[in-house]
Amino acid sequence: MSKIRYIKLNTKETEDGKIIKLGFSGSFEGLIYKVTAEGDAENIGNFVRENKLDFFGQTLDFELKNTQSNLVDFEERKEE
Amino acid sequence: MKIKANILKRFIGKVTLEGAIPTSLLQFNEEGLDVKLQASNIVFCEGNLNKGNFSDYTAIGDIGIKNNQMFISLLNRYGDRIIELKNDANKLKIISETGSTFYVLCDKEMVDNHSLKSPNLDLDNGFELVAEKLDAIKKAGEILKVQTTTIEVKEKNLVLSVNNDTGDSITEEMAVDYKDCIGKYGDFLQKTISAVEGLVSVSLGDNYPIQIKEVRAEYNLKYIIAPMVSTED
Repeated sequence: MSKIRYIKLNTKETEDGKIIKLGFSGSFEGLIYKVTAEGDAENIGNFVRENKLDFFGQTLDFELKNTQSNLVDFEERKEE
Repeated sequence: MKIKANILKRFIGKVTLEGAIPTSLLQFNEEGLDVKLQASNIVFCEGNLNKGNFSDYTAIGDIGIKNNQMFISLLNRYGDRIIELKNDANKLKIISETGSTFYVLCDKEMVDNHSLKSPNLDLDNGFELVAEKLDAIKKAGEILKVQTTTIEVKEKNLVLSVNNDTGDSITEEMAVDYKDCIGKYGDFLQKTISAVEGLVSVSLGDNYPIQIKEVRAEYNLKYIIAPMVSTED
């Protein structure tokens, strides 16, 4: 399985807060790739793992190594 | 109220990560200028520029900045000259000896990056180091073209490291009196490193947000950045 070593997720939200577009940039075997995907992705992590992304016409299996967390999750974890 | 333009520009640049955080609410309160910002809940930035930096200071309330980069560039035009700031019917009037600028303000509701409060996290007082040590690993990351930095403390030894897909790696090390912990942080850490200078305090935990504070007589700044988390295993 090929590995993406780093991935950055950018999201654009509609006015009602629903995510409709995901922008991906990451490195694969030392090269930087950027793709944009459209779709409903409440759980971005699962979306990325469950879908094979098309990098310049070549569909690759990949394993996500690092994802960006967010501060809200850590606050909620503390409150629990 | 009046202030040297370069002092205000430097502070706004630091707290907005040189405009990487696009909008801001400048809150001119009794104690000075307060700014609290967040971007995508990945980074939180808080700054206070105390009123001693101003002459004839007035708590003029909230000023909504719609484009931080443009605002920084506007202030930069005045160099180290003294400017007078006035809130004039939803426009910020910047007056100097050489001319004036009218900057149209935006409503509070339009400031997407304003944060009401600091994140409630378990962060201790941390350890101190000079920002140049952080800058050294940022520059190493630029050489290797990587945006993720690993910060680890093991047996009182701080190791800052960057490594790329082809196996190249660079580390910076120093002794610190701090607990064992490790975290990876993305490009907002690099932007924060660019913003801070001199002696800073750093606190973090295992795969936990990192806090970097720069406290000076004239201002104080606090940054909190969420970590990159591994999805392996």
